Amino acid sequence: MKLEICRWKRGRAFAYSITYDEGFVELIDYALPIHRKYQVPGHLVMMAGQLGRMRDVPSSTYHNLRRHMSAGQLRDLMQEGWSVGNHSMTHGDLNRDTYTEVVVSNKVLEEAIGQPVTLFHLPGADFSFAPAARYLDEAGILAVFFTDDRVNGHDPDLLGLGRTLLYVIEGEPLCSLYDPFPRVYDPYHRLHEALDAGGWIVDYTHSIEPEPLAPWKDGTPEILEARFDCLRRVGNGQEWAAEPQEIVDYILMRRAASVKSIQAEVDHLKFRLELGHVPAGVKCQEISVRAQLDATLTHPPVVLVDGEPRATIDNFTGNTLVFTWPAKSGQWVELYWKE
Amino acid sequence: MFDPNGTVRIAPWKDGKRFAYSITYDEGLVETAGFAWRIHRDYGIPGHINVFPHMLGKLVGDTSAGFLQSLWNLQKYAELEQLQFLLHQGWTIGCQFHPDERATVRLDLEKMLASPIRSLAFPDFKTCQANQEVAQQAGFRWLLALYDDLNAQDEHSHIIKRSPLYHRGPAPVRFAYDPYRLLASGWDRGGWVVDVVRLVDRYPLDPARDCTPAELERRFKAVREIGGDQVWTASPEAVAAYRALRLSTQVQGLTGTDQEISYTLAATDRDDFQPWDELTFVVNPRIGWASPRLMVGENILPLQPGLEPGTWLFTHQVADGLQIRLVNESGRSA
Repeated sequence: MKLEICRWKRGRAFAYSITYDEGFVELIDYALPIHRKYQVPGHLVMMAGQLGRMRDVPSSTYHNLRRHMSAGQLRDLMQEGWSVGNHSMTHGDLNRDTYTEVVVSNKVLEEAIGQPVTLFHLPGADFSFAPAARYLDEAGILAVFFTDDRVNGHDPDLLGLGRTLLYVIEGEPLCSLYDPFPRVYDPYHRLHEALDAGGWIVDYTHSIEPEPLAPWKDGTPEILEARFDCLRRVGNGQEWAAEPQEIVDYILMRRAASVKSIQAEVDHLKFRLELGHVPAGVKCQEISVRAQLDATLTHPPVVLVDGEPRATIDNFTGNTLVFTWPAKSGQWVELYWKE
Repeated sequence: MFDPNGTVRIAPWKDGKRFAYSITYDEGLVETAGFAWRIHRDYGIPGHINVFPHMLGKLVGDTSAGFLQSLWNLQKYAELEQLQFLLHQGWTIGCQFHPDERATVRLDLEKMLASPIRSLAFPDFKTCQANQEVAQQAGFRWLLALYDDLNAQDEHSHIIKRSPLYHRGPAPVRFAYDPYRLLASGWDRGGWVVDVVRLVDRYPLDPARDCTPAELERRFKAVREIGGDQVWTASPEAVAAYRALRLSTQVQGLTGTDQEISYTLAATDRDDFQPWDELTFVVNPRIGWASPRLMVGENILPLQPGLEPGTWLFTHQVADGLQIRLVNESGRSA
């Protein structure tokens, strides 16, 4: 008999999220239908100071050319499972008026969407992190995203998460911001690596449009669809596609959770869940557990949490059971089965 | 009635493989011969190394030779003997572009190695484009550029796109090593993945260009994991020569009956260096031949079953005007 808290929710092998910096309204027409088709919720990275307005960042590629989503549009997408992260107040240098850029911006966003905002996505380069770091706790931020193109491990540093770029083509001859050579997007980018490592991919891009304004950092509907198609084919049911706030919540729940007082009998298993410190901003407080039974069963066991059928059975293979439930410290979880 | 459509075609890659994989090493550093070749040998993947012909055996950063100080100071360029060893291991060797190098550098290296030198490697894409004409005039047939993308199977190009095996660009975006890079797309699209790396060493000096032996081995494992027995692993020169020969070879005069197919090859871009004058042909008689026999002139050659049911494969040297005949042996004897 073996019990373990799953690395990823519902016992999935790896995790996947996609984030859109700036949250332009074009996403509603061009990205949302593809998200619906593949059942992948997105995450909008919003500059708090310009919700619903044309972009007013003179140094930006999109200055005066694209409009940010309004609070109402954000709320509509949240109804479909999307979430919202903070991209500062002005997308400026965080060394200036850092409190406003990190803390006030978070409050503005939270009021706009009526939900806690716990993820911060650094605007500009890595040097934004140093000034922001001092204010993360006050703002209620649980995780910070950089733009390192890598797979996050299954137990990552939440203040140094990487994001993998989704784009059309970058580098010369279009724009050589980052590389001395052109780079064409590969829709399989890092998926096998994530599956192999049991890690977490967080894609990031900006706009999704048929003719992107900035092909080195935007995608097309075709590329987004190819990406999701590759995700579903490589994952083959083993991928957990979720918005990143839910994934950060799960990581924090997993870290806080432990299984205690295990009592195993021939047709019965009982254990107590203990939760250590769970940060206040963790909204989705679920835990998934994998139970490896000594017996091989034809039907999944009955799972009761404090005597109630609160758990969802995610996977059952005869002698392995994965189940998920809204977790609280001190809960007794019981499994009953009959041969 | 014999229908020639689809009966004979040239396979996109040798031996009917689904996609191709190559790897190249720039700068010709001695550690490549030390660390990389053993991994290549273990995985049966021939490599390709690009060298500065006049720096063989010298220390990197040897300013007396007119080369600037570099990140690889106190490293050493491979010796001529080491290059000959790699050649014997099935590797190919090319020149590394240097703006001060003479146009005769290719011939110099050919003379030193007694082996044809046909490729020139560039440190980026822009330099490759700018020097394309001069390089081709100097006799370089293949220009190895940096361009992170698949090479398509039907691309008529002397420029070969190479994808960095290990690369971390400057902020704000840094790209980390991914052992599976481009392989699944290579499989899907029947393309050709060409890696480029500088130095394979236990402690890479420049993470933007080097990798460790463990990372190289992980890459080769991923090539085998994704490609299985359907990936053609070969020197980039062999793959480029195959593609060029295929794209310039035509099957002509196809005639046949339900017991016999014959055709002639029109080949205008034959490579003069053996064994890169071979193509693989896929034959699909579509009339249920049980044991076809291949005849090239008066010679009878073996056929292998193809990937798709009812198809047969054979690989043969290509010559302009070569006549090929396939006969249904069981049909004859019956």
